[in-house]
Amino acid sequence: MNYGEFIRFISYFLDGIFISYAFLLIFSYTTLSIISGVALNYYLKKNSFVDYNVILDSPLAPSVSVLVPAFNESKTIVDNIESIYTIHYNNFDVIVINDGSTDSTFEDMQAAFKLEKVNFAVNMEIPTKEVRGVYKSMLSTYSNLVVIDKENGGKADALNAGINVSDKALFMAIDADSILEPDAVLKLVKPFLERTDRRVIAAGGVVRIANSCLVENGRITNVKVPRNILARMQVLEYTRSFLMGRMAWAQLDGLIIISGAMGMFDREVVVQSGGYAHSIGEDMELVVRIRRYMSENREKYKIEYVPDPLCWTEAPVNLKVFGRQRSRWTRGTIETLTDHSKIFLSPQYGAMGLLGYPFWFLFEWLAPLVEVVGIIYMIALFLTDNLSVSFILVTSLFVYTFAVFFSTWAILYEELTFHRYERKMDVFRLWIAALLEPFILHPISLFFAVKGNVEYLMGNRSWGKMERKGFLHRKEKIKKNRFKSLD
Amino acid sequence: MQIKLIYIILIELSGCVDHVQGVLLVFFDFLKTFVEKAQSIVNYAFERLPYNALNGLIIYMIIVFFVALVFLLPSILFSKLYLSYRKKKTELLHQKYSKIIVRFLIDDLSEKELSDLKNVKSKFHRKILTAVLISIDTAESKLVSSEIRKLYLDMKLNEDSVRKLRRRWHHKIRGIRELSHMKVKSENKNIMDFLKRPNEILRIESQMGLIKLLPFVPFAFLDSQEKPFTVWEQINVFDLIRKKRIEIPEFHLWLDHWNDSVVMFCLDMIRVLKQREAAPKVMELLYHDNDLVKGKVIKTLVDLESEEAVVKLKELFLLEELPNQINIIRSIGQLRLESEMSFLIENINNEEFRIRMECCKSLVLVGESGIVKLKSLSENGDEELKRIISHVLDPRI
Repeated sequence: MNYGEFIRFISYFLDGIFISYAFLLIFSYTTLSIISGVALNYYLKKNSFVDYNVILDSPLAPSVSVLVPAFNESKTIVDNIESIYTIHYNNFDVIVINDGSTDSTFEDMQAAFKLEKVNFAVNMEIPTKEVRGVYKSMLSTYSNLVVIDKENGGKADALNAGINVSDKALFMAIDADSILEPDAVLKLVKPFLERTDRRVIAAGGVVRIANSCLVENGRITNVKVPRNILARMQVLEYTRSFLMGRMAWAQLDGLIIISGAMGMFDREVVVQSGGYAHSIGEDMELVVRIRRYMSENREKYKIEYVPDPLCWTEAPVNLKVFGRQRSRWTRGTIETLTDHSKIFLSPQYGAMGLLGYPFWFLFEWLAPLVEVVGIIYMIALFLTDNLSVSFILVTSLFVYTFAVFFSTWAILYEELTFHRYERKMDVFRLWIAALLEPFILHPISLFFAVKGNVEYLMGNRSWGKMERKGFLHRKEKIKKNRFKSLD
Repeated sequence: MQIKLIYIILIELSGCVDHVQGVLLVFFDFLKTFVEKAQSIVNYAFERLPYNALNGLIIYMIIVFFVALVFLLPSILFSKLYLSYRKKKTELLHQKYSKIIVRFLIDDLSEKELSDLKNVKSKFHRKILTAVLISIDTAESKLVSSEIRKLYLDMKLNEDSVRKLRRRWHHKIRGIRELSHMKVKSENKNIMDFLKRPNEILRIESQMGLIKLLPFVPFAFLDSQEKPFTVWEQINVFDLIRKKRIEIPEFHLWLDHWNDSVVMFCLDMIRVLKQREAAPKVMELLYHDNDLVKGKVIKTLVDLESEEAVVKLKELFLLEELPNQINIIRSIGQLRLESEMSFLIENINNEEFRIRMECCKSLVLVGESGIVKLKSLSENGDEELKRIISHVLDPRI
């Protein structure tokens, strides 16, 4: 084989790899979307017969702790705690964990909810940083509010402290800036009640983007497509991921992530498997670990997924914060996948080992890297005068049409299922975002995903700072109502 | 005059047809040109691309995605418009028929209006009528039930409901709900067959339907319950027991059922409904193989205030796993028996934090003597015990 033939061989080989990868990716996404479509249809029909209110006053309903880790959340913490109290559920308590905030988070809570230090004996089932004190609200409205003040140890450590204090069978972990739908707990509890021979160890729901939505008294009252283009494109991204991806993975029993913004867990299983790990992607890591724990102990289990929009969160609108979030997500994915590499293609772990893990490895971790290598390869071909411009145009058009088609499909699912965007113009705006996304959000995400890989290699394991703008629309209204409710 | 008008209309129509023909010809011409152009672009691309087979595939996939997009976009728009139209129409019809039915109930409906109502043919309208009848019946006092049921039968809406039983599962459920609400018992046999279906929602609805339809043996379905009787099903059944006046059976009759989930449901019912006469049979289950059943037995015995159970519970304590040990201590505490303080104090130095905590909580429940004992234990206890005692003695927690 001479040099020319060798180069041609390499070129054919790489072409084959890239094309096969692209087709496999398209095939996977399309299959997942079809599975999710069928599952959504079933869910909606099933749900049309469900009266969640029967859970409300039933003596058979389980008790739930809502865990809210908070670090420097002074802007929003009081509003957010109040918003939690709008949920419909009877048997619950709220445990807020002040993770060594350096701002006035704790003082704000103390003043707003009349907190008093109590002699709480914490059972340190999961080791955490020092707990400085446990506080309880002396206001009757918030009699089930517990605040833990502890040394800073990160989100995972804060959640573990909350688990230690909780004495309920189930706990729901939410982000401090999450706005819950009133029936979020009812809907997440239901899968645990439907347990048969397989123990339900966790349940996740759909997280939506609240930017530009109107929030009143801790509830989303007017759903709007975000005005900011970056946030708007993230709406599409979330819709694709939660409504098409995770729904399908739950059907295949391969779900390996429940969003950190909101998820419900069986406390006993989480404690037995060691609680949250001090990792960057603690939400994904916990799901993988509790699944491993159950599989390795040969216990039948399942992880459920509720496709209803249950929780709203603020999406980053500036590049700096967005970049930090994406880099953290990438590092979290890599860390979890490398820490649990044992499950890769292992039949012992069922669909998680055979489908879920390989998918995340191939299409979540490797996808941006393959794309970058592809771009470099194209540049190399161009520089050596081996690149057909028509080929480039056609493959780019191919990728673009698929991306737009897939996002449009997601918009259709949203319309046929929960249609939360009621204005006709909102759908149009979303579709325009779908047309632009491959040129704006995708390259930015790609950049930060690659950056995340590089940072991981360089040993960066920090969580990064997430700045909240707060939900500006509600400020005035909430302040008025806050004092009403605290009377 | 009329003939002239019809003639004019016919002439206009033929003109329109000619016009449509012309438009169609132009449209087909355009379509032909479009296809030719698209084909020439595809050919152009093919000629200039390196590997033909692969390019072919890519280009055809682009066309597929593009065509799919062309279909998806109008689908989104159509679904949005259709859903809002349907929602509006349903609301309007619901209001319209609600008014009519209310007027019927207060005898304010003329013969003609009543006959029009009974002759409603549209499936959609009949579906709404059934829903309206059920919603009014649910909201109103029992006095109107017979009138509403009569109207439902007179309009032969029961036939629609029966037809639903032969369709797919979600229609079946609607049928069961309608028939059971209107107490139409002719399809009981069919509904019983649904109890064996793998579809859990259909099963639950069949159970609920049968509870309403068989007032004297509402829980007969428990006898043949093969599938696990989930907590969700139990919650629904319990809700029905509370809301409807259903004859409550003696749940201890199923305590020897081979299906543990049925046993657990019956234990919960015995506990919640305080069926004290069941206590001896419940006690027999203290040695059940299933730990979850045993846990429920312990709770039930305590809620039935069965002091005889305490001796057995104490005997079992050391043989049990941690969750049931905690249950036993909690249960003994709930009985508030001063005589059992020694057992609680005995276990207060257990290695397990949760048992220590439960013992202390139980001692507080015993009353003043328990609290005094705790305070004295705190003086000589280890650090952990001191923390636990100050926890249980803090009234704010």
